[in-house]
Amino acid sequence: MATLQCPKCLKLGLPSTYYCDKKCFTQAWKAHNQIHKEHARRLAFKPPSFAYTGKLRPHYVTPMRKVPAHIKKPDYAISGTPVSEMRDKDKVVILNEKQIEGLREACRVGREVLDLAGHMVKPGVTTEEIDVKVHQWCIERGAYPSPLNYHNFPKSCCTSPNEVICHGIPDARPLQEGDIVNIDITVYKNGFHGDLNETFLVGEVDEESKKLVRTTYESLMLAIRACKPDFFIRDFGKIISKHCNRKNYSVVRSYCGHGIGELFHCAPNVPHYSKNKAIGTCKPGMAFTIEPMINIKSWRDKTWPDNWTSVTADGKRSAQFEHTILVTETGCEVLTARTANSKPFWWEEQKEVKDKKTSK
Amino acid sequence: FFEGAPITCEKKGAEESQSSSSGGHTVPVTIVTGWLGSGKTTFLRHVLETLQKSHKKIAIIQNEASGVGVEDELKLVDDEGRPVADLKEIGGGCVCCSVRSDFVAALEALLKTRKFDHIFVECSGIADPGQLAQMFWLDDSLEGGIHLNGVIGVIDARLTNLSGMDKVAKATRNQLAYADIILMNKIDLVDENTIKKLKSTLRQLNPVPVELTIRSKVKDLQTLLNLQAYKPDAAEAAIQQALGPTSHSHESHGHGHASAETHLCHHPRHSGKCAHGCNDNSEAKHGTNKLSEKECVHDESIGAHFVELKEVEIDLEKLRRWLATVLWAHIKVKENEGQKEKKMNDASVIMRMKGLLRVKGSTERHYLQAVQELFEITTGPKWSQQDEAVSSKFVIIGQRLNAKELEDGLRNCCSGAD
Repeated sequence: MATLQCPKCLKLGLPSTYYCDKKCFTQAWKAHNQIHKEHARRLAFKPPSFAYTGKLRPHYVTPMRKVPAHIKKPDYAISGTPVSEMRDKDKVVILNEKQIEGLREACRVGREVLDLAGHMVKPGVTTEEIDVKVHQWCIERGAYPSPLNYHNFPKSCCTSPNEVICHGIPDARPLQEGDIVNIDITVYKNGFHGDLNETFLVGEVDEESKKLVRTTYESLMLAIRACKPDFFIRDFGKIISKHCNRKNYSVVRSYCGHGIGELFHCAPNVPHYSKNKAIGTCKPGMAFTIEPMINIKSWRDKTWPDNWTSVTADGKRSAQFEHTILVTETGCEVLTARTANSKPFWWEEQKEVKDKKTSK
Repeated sequence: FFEGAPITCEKKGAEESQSSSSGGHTVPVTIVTGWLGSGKTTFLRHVLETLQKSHKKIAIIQNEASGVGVEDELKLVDDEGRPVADLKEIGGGCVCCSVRSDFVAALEALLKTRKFDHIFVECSGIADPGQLAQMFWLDDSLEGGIHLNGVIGVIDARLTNLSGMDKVAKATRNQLAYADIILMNKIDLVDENTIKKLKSTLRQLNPVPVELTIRSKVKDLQTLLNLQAYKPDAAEAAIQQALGPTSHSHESHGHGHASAETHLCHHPRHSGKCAHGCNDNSEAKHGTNKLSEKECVHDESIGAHFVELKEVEIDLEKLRRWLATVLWAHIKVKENEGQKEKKMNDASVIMRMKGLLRVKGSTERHYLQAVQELFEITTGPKWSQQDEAVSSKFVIIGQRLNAKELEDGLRNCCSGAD
């Protein structure tokens, strides 16, 4: 029976690990000591100096997680560099039936994972904890979490609270009552990526943020409604922009929707702002994402010193929603569509409550 | 290579304002093409010397095209020739789903910390200025740190073989097709007749202004530095310029039909008659009211075409559809099993297009600018009373273009056409 506790863990107040005897402990020391080292790094962590635009600060990020060997991985999983993307990035892809099936499955898995992640969102939960579960859920479903090591991104999903526009890195910061947080999930299953995201409310959230979230979702769905063969890709921006400008919100311009399939990001490029020169029209068999990022005031963005986290230049909040779309002969199919397990939107919950009241 | 100073992020208060005034300084990017020996390098040297005198900071992007990937061959140096930075290391935030190419994103990130007044892209003879123009022609909405000023083509007046079918001639024509202004250099070494002939040949290829220079010295550098060739209204200016004194347009009125166009078709010099039966010895061929069935479309030939549509109005949606067809038909589709690779080698290609449009349902001018796969239709000042008779005009430069097809295609974009 293992009764020997690591004295250092006791001293540091870390959860105890038990060993049979001194010999056993000594053998395990090299690996076990990593826990103490990480703890020390976590304590020592300070956000780098930067002209932060809002209240949010970076927190400690845990080391990159591993993915078991039996999971099929994209080319960048080891090297960090998506070589195949760089080679084929300008080519438009028309998927055949078999590929469409593969993409559908990846999107279905992505939706499952996002739904589970969404239900985790509440005050006190850290984005790191969400990432741990997302990582596990992907592997359980035989999928690789696409963001992991993509251009050396350190985590398995992106978590973007409040003024973060996109690409937030899951870290030790606990979500706070009143926050909004976007969770962006992409999974790689059997050679295909499925990409989607939603912005969730943390506890009770102010009216302005709720309005922002709803308007953002609506702008995405309006764009999707317009999607069909021969629709100009550059016109999605017109629709999204028009809807958001009505509420005096602005559309982020630096990041766009993108083609997806066997590659994570490829042609076409789908801007969300109006007056853009996007190339191409929708063709049956094309698959791409639409993912508007909408800000309360300024459209401008800045990037944190971690070279990933994009925040609003004025520090005000930003919301985003994303779907992977497949263009069909008559319109489009939302491959990442919501299910009965998806966390209800605040306006759906409100309606539910209203309906209950009126039915009484 | 930063002269000792580390990169710091400057906080720019003004930048955060919501108004989209372009009061923020954006650095003009001018692409300069020309063969070794054309005087391109000397021209750049003159420009650098002149600008340095007024303490302007210049950077040069050198493009040593090797055909692999455009961006891999771009190196940024300052006006002393020192490498400015390894742009790959700067990054510019995540570029995985970004509107800018990696290179431009890195360049704009750099420009937040290093000030430049002008950036030149120096292209080798075989570089494709069109691809570079496409890369630097950003959406205005981005209010980026740079904007595309234009393309300057430098040639040696002693060029005897602009019409030839050899690699050098072809590459030269390709370069010049994208030029917004051509510098014909070393004119002191040739006679007036040669200059006249070359000017005429150039005009068929691309009817932009040709400035005659000796030892690469230009008269008015400021104009060159301020071409603004991709601004919407530059389309109108370019078309007026293209109409010039040497072109004639034969007009047919009434019946709501578009008039015939004057096409400045380029005829490569074959040993005698053209294989297509046009016995061309004159430089420019004038369009007639009824276009002959035999159009001169030669392999490889790059030429400029001018289309004028009188007494009709353009239906913008039809025009967009037409542009989507002609500009994007050749876009590579990644092959899948069972999909045949489309054979695109014989297709016509539009390289550069400028248009002044009279649009149905609008009292405003509309401008069209296009290069390779990019196009933009924007509005301008309202038509005035005197403009009543002004028609829609297009200057189109491309390869293997069929003048009749172009005209028919555009005519079909007019309201009332089926």
